[in-house]
Amino acid sequence: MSYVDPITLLFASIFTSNILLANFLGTCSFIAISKDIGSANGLGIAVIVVLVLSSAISWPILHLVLIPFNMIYLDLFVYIIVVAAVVQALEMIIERVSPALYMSLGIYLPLIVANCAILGVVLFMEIRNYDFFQAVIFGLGSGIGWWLAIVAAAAMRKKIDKAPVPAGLQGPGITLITMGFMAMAFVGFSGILRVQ
Amino acid sequence: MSTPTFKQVTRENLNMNNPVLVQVLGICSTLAVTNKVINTLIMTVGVSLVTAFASYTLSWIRHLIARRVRMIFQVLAITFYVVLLQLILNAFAPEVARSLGPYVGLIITNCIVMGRTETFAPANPPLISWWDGFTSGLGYMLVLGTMSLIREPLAFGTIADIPIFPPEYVSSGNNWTIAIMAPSAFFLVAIIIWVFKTRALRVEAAAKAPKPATVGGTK
Amino acid sequence: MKINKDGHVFTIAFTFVCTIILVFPLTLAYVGTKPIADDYWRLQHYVKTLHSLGIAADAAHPAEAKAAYEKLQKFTVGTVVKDTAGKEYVEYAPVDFGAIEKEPSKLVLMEIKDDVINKALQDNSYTGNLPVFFYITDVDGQKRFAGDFTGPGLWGNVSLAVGVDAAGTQLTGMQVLFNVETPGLGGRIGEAWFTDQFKGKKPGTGLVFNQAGANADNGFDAISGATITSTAVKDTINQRALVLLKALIIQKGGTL
Repeated sequence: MSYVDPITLLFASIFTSNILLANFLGTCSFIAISKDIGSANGLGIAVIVVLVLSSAISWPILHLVLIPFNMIYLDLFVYIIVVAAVVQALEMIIERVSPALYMSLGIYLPLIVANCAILGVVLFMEIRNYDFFQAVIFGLGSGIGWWLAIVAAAAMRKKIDKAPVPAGLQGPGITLITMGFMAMAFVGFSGILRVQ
Repeated sequence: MSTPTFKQVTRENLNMNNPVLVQVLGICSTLAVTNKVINTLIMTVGVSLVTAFASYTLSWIRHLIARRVRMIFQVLAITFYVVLLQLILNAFAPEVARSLGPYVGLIITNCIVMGRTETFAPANPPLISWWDGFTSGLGYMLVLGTMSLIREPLAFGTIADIPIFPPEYVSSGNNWTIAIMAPSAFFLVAIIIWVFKTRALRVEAAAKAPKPATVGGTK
Repeated sequence: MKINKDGHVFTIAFTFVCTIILVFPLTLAYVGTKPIADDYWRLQHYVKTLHSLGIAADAAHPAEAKAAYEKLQKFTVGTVVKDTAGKEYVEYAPVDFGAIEKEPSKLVLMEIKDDVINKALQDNSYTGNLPVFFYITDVDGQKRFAGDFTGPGLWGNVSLAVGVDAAGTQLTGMQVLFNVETPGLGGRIGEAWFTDQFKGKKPGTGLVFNQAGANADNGFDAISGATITSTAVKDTINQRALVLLKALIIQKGGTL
């Protein structure tokens, strides 16, 4: 079992080991989406929900089915199906509860399945041997960290769009440099506390 | 839409439509594994093969599967090849497999794999799909290989664990530790994209420039 | 019966059927490749345990390494229990490092054979959650004591093989059995230049990091940029390895 307490884990997964800026997961959709704060916000919150649910559902399957029956090599199948199912269910619920939100999030929701952050968080939970509570906290913290990063990047991009960026750097180039600076800033958090 | 030739596909994926530099896909693993050359090589070969075979499989069954379930089958097929890759790596390159860790499993969500199997494979015959998948992986390998060839020497003074700088580079603490960490990868990719895109824009501008009139008829 | 190809039921059924079909060849591949992987890690374990005891061994000579490893006396902390089928297996007891530090006799040892350790290695190859194992041997008439100790690292467990001499005052070697630290940073603890430092160190009250330039008897060089992982190694050696090895020496007749 891992020895980290929940508060430390929450703080660490949001800041010092931010899933996007320290672990590089979830960058693809990040670069495509972070143009507009509204949709960045919506997507970030959707990712938080999917992460918490996926961690919560994957953990019991891992520890009650895969490990006792020596089927860890099938973990990827289980995780990807769980994530796809959660996203599908979330899509149906949003469509029914708030059609306006559904319209604005539109095609971004199915893209969450391809978001490496979700699968990555579940894989980290497996390799770091978290118990159930830790897994959910880790999912929640990683989601909040991703959401923070994407909203901050969207805000920065609004400013950058008005700046004279060289032609070759426009678009992905300047976004990546921005993320590099954000990553450096987040490295500064690592002196605050130990992750485990 | 006519089927592209092997040569067209190669040129597209390695240069004009490079998955990392132009389509900006597969960034996640680009940043994570490029601090050692050997890890990068094995990872990119793995991605190339997975994309190739997944594209082949999806192209082969493209007339047999209903549209609704094609997405699911795509995900499952990719997962199948990634698990196979993982098992092979665990057995024949155990140290690399352990140091790559969860990033091998993350090939499933690698946008390059998803992109090719989603766009190219369902519309083209199996053999060219295999080649398209493989060359997309090669385009990916070119970029990641370049990055690791820059990051590893700066950070460790070695290339593929063979020291190329004198040992004092690392032991005296003068190596660029930042080259191992997250931010350097972001900056390096941005610089490479910048160089590449500037060149591409220049080529495009030259092609669009009005040609001087030729005397005496068509060229 | 008309199958509604657009319905949810079809999608779910299709998913399960597809998964089951794909799982068969993978199971075959797993059954075929796991022994190869297990052999590799088992050989690494032999070689690293022998290195931590200061005994020369080499992965290029697996038979010799295995023979030398088999000669070691092995212990763990736990009891033998019978499962529902009547087969015996070892149930490992949790180790209270604080209590054993105050009262070394609280360490209850149980002698075991190679197959127990090999099974534990196989079962924990993914998570590195190794139970504590001890090894005792004789080199040139002098006893040497070593063990496998696992502690929390930055991203997961860090398992170390640590060996001391008969008096428990000098390290005979240290090897990293398992780590999932940041590749290229914390992951470098597995490299020879790092682990070789520990051979011959006299920990005294505990190992510390070398201050700039100085090379103390109980100091070692941390990895720059990997403070947390280096601290994890230091703490695992000081708070777990040395504590348990001292208790082991008291009980098993070292010259403490």
